Amino acid sequence: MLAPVEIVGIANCVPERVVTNFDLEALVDTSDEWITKRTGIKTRRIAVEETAFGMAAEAAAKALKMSGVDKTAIGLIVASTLTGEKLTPSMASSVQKALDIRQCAAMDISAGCTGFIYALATAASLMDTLNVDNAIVLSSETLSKYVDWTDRSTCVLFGDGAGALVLKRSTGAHILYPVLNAAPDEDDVIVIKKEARTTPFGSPADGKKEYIHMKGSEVFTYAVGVMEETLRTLAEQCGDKPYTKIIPHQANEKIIDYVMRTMHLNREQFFLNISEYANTSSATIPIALADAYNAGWLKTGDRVALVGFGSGLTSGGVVIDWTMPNKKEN
Amino acid sequence: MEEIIVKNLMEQLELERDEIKPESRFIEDFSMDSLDMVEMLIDLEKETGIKIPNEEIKDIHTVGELVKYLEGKKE
Repeated sequence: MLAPVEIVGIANCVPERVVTNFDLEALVDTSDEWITKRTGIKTRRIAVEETAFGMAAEAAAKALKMSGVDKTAIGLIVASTLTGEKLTPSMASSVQKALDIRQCAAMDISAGCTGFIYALATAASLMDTLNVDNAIVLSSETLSKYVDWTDRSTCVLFGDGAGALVLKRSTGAHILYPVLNAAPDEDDVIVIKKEARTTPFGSPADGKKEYIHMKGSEVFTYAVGVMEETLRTLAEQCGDKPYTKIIPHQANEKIIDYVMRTMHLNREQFFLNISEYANTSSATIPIALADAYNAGWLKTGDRVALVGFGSGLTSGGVVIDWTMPNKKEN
Repeated sequence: MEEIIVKNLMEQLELERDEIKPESRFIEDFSMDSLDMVEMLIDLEKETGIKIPNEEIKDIHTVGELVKYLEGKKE
């Protein structure tokens, strides 16, 4: 069971350094036109001084401030990351320490680019199980550290950033119909290997640095299939109160364009910021949620579907009844 | 089969019927990239039930070749 909860704070944090497609022309044999046509990406933010943990802590602090929830009332932190700086402690525990929250449950989730949806569903579910009133859910990634910057087919696709939200127990349920799935990645279509050290007992480490390895065509086929299926499932669950807006995982605009075309959805129903941030893995959805709210695109009473896919091969979706007061226009 | 392919290409690439000929080349004439080709295969699989492995499309360059390939698979 999910606890009846609502989102009361949302924020993102992205690195200062903007890297344009033109900047990449100096690194690899590519062009702004080529990248834009095939991905929809124009720029990405790349961490120079920033860390995945630092961005997570900043996004969480901003979301907490917006929520008005006292930090002592936070009972749970769930973080999604593939690229946290430490194997242990977890990113959630590190954020707990940074925010000086003395006592709460804290854990990380690894579910590829679908991680934020997994984290959100897990948090809402644990809030019921543990009888927690307030929780922080976040994603933070620095994919740039795992990109082969000499490989033009992958280095143009990724960026860094974080997003966080605060969940608060409410009188009605506003996080609805979670769908979490995974299918075996039989052909290793998305893999990032961890570097391991050699032991004195054999099992030598590979020695060479491992980068993101991705088979683009296979990912595309998988992605469009699970996005269509998840959106249809969510539509069925919503019944006579359909979702009217969609925030998808932003990996490649062509994937989203395909789903729009085949499901006869309008571009206006989607919030897209991939042109600005590229694919930040599990952070794309919370980064977009915060931007959508701050831009006034998300309004009180909206029913919005989140849908994602990623390595695993994971996929998932959830529906949010948006209750936060409309952002005032400047 | 040709009509199914033509209909899908018209929808996917927003082409007119008379722009699509058996000798039309996907890359040179329609400016399709690898993901456009994958899109086309997914659409055709949905419509015909015939699965076309991504690696096999590399040897198919024209509309006519695709028609021949799919008709061969159907038999």
